[in-house]
Amino acid sequence: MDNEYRLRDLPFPCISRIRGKSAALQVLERVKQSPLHIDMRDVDMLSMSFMDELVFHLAASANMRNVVFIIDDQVLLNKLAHIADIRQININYKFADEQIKRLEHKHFTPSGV
Amino acid sequence: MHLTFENVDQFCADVQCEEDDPIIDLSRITFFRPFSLVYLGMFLRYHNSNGKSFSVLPPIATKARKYLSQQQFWERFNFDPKTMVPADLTQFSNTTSLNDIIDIEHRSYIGEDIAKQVFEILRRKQVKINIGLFSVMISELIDNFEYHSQSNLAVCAMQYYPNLNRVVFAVGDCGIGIKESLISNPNNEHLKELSEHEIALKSFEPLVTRMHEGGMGLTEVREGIIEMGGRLTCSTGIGYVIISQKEEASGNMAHYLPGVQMELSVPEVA
Repeated sequence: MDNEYRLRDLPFPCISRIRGKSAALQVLERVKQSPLHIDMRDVDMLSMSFMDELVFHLAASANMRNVVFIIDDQVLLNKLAHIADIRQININYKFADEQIKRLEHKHFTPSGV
Repeated sequence: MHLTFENVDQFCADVQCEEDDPIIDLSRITFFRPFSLVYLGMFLRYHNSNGKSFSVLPPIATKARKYLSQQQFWERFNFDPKTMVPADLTQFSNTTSLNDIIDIEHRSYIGEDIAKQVFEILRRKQVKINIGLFSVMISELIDNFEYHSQSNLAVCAMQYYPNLNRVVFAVGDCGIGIKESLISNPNNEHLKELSEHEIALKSFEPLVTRMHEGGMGLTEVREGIIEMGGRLTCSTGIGYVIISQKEEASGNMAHYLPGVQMELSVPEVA
């Protein structure tokens, strides 16, 4: 994949909304050129706040269909599924050598809100 | 006697704060869990900032007394936090062991700085837990202090018990607490009628936040602690919350203490 963005190469840890927004700005530049694979594997610390902020900016700019998240474990998949539900969006993902799949959001209603 | 989440609130409630020179009697304490240290520290700071100072009867047990002395517990907490200058804060450093109490100042990226150092310490010690996830949870807790507490100083303490195969991390502040923080968001108007422990439990649900964005940090902490087979205890004001694989409970503490105090206790994997 030519257009690939590796979170493990970032010079900062992937653990806050501020960092998620920084990554999102870089990703938005890259995804303008061609569809983008965001490699989430082998990252020491990767928080849901970071991922949610990244996804939020991609969705807000209508770029979700041009992005595929590469993952390697069920924990990451669960986090992506959670974000898909909460944000009411569809997320493309793939395990390393598998086909691209799509997480389709369910109808999520936070209790009490 | 061990001082833990289960009894530190009653211990503080028994201190005669209305007296001129109230005594904190630690003479029978033989062991301090991180939560109790943080809670007791915040108890001291809160009352100090209101002009109250204390006398102390130190632990008779040598190990417990030496531990408090090594941590400079009284010098650290028996002062008004507003008078503390950043240069005097004790920060994580490369030589810091797992057993230190650390001051946390209110500044940008403090959450990720502490998380990175916790990650390195646990990796260096080859502690057998999901270190990445644990560090992420810690960054979320400290970010909450930074964004929501409206206080300038927090504290954390971490302990590794090799014989129990367990890591425990506690963090606390004496800021505005979860309820006041959440109901400051007009979207959370409906939460006003809830008790502090009910609101504290709700704060672990997705999208419940003071701000317009976010509300996933504590959700990840809850899911992380369950996934790791650990136990989370949290107190805020008069309320408490306990979350583990086996239980999710909330109720009232025996003592009111402003702010948020939280402990993550995680077992090593075989």
